[in-house]
Amino acid sequence: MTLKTREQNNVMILEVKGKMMGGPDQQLFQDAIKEQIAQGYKRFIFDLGGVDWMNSSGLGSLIGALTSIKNAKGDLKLASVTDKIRSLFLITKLVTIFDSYDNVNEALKSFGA
Amino acid sequence: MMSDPSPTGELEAQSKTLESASQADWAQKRVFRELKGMLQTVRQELKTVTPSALQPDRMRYFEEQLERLSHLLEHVEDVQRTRLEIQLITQIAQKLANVLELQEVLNLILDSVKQVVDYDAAGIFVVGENGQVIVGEVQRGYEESAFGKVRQKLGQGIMGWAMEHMAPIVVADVSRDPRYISARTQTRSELVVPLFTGGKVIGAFNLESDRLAAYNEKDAEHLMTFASHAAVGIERARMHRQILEKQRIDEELALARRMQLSLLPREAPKLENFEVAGINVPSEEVGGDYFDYIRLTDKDLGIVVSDVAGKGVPAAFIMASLRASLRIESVSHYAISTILSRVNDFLFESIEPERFVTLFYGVIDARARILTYANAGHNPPLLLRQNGRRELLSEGGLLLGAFPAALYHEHRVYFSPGDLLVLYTDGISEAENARGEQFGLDRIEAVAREAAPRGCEATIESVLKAVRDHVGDAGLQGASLSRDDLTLMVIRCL
Repeated sequence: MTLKTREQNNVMILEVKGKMMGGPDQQLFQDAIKEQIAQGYKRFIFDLGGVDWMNSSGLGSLIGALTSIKNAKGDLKLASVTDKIRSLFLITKLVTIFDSYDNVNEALKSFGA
Repeated sequence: MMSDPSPTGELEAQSKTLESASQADWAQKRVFRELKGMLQTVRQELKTVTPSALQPDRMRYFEEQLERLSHLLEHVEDVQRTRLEIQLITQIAQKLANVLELQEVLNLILDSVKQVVDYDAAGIFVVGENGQVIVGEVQRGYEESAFGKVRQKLGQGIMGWAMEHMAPIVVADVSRDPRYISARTQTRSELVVPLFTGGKVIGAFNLESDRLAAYNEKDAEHLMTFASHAAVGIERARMHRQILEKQRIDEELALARRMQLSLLPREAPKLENFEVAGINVPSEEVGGDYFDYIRLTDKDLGIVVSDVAGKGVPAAFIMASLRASLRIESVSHYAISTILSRVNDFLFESIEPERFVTLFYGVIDARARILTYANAGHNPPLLLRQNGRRELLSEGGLLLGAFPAALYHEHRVYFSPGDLLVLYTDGISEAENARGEQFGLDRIEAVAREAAPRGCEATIESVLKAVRDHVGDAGLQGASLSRDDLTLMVIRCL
C-alpha cells in the first residue's frame, strides 16, 4: 500500500493505492491520519480509486480512521470506491456509514470546497 | 595429563595473549613513530647542507638511501598492520562463532578497526528488514542528537553512493564533496565501504577523521576485511532473530488454534425436521472464524456463523468474548434485534476501533420450520429453495463492534422440505484461483445443490473439495492449511 497526501481548500486528501491489509500498513495508515488530525485538519477525503484489494484488516483501518476523524469533530468522505470495495461495504452494511462519491471533485463539492 | 576442560580457562589464556600482543603492538607503533621522526629530521638536515659541501653524486646517494629507508619503513609498517589485522580478525571470528549478541560483535569490530585504521567517528549501519528504513547498529564519536542525520547519510550522501555502487569510497576533503551530509562539524575526511552478504548490500561501514586526507586505498582494503566479518555477524544474528521470532509466532498460533478449537462445537445437534452439519478448517495463520449452535429449547436452535477481523491470538480473544456475550444474551432475550444490539455495544466497549466482527445469527423453530434471523454485516447465507430459487439472507444491520448503538432488524423465512441453507465465511466465497477469480456464490450453489441429496456432511465435503480444486496451486492443496479460515454450515429441511 502507498499513501500520498495533498491539501486542497483546507481539505486533506489521502490517495491510497495497492492492497489495504493489516500489519505494518495498518500502522502506517493510522499514523498518517493521526498526524493530519494533529496538524488541525478536520475535513478528509480518501481517494480509494487505486486500491485493488482490501481485506478485513484494511476495512478495519478505514473504520478506525473514521472513528479518529469523528472523535476530532471532523468529517470523512470516500472517493472513487471500486466495485470490489463497494460490495464489501454492501455486505457489511458500511454503505450506511461511509459517505462516498464518484470522484475527488464530487467529494470536494460536498464539502463546499 | 588432563587438559583444561573449561572453555573459560581457554578464553582467559587467549585474552592474556591478546593483551600482551596489544602491548607489543603499542611498543612497535612507538618505534615506527620514532623512526619516522628520525627520517624526517635527517631529510630536513640534508636540505640545510650547502650543495658545495658535498659532491652532487654523494648528495644523490644520501637522498636515494633515505628514500629506500622510507619505503622499507612503510613496507614493514604495512606488514605489521596486516599481522595485527589477522590477529584481530581471528579474535573477531572466534567471537562470531560463539556469541550471538550482534551488538557485542559489532562493538568489538569497531574497536578492532581503530587499531588498524584510525578514526574519530565510526559506525556500522544496516538497512532495515523492509529494505527502506535504516538502522544504526553501532557507532562511535557521533553525538546522540546527530544520529538521525547519520541515518539519513546511509540512504543518500557518501554512504548512499558506496551502497549503490557496491564499492568503497575515500573522500579526502568532505567540504569539497557535494554528496557529503554532515553529522559532525569536526569531520574533514571520510572512508566508507559497503557491507555485503550473498551479493546483496545490507549496509555500510563508515569512518570519519578530523584530519584532511586521512585515508587511502590501503585503508579501504583493510576496512573491507573487517566489513566482511561484520556482515557475517549481522547475517547470523538476523537469522537467529528470525528463528526466535518464528518460534514465538508458532507458539502464539498454537495457542490461538487451541483457543479457537475449544470454542467450536464438537458435534452437530439433532433437530426435528432438519439435518445440520458444520465445519471450521483453520488457516495457517488462524483466522477469526467462528460458528456455533445454541440450544434454546428442545425445538429452538440458535445458529451462528461469524468472522472476526484479524488473525491469531487477538482475533481468538475477540471470538471468545463474542461467544460468551452472544450465549448470555441469547438465553436472556427473545428478540434477535435486541440480542445483536447488546452484543454490538459490548464489543464496541471491549475492542479496538480497527477491529470488528461480522455475524449471522438465527433461530430455527424446528417444529414450525421457521428461521428468524438478523445478519450483522456477514456474507449472506444462501437459502437454496427446492424449486431452484436462491435467496440471500442479508437483512439485519451493521457489522458488530465498530460503532455504538447500532440497530438491527430481524427477518423470518419459512422452510419447505428439500430447502437447503448454506452459511459460510469469506474464506469460502472469496477463495481465489491463480487468475484471481473468486470461488463465488454460483459455485457454492451448484456444488451444494448437486451434493445435497447425499446429506449435509457430504455437502460440506463437496464444497470444501471444490474450493480446494478451485484454488489449486495458488493456495495449498489437500488437507493442508489455506490462507484463510474455511467455515461452512449446511442445514437441510427434511
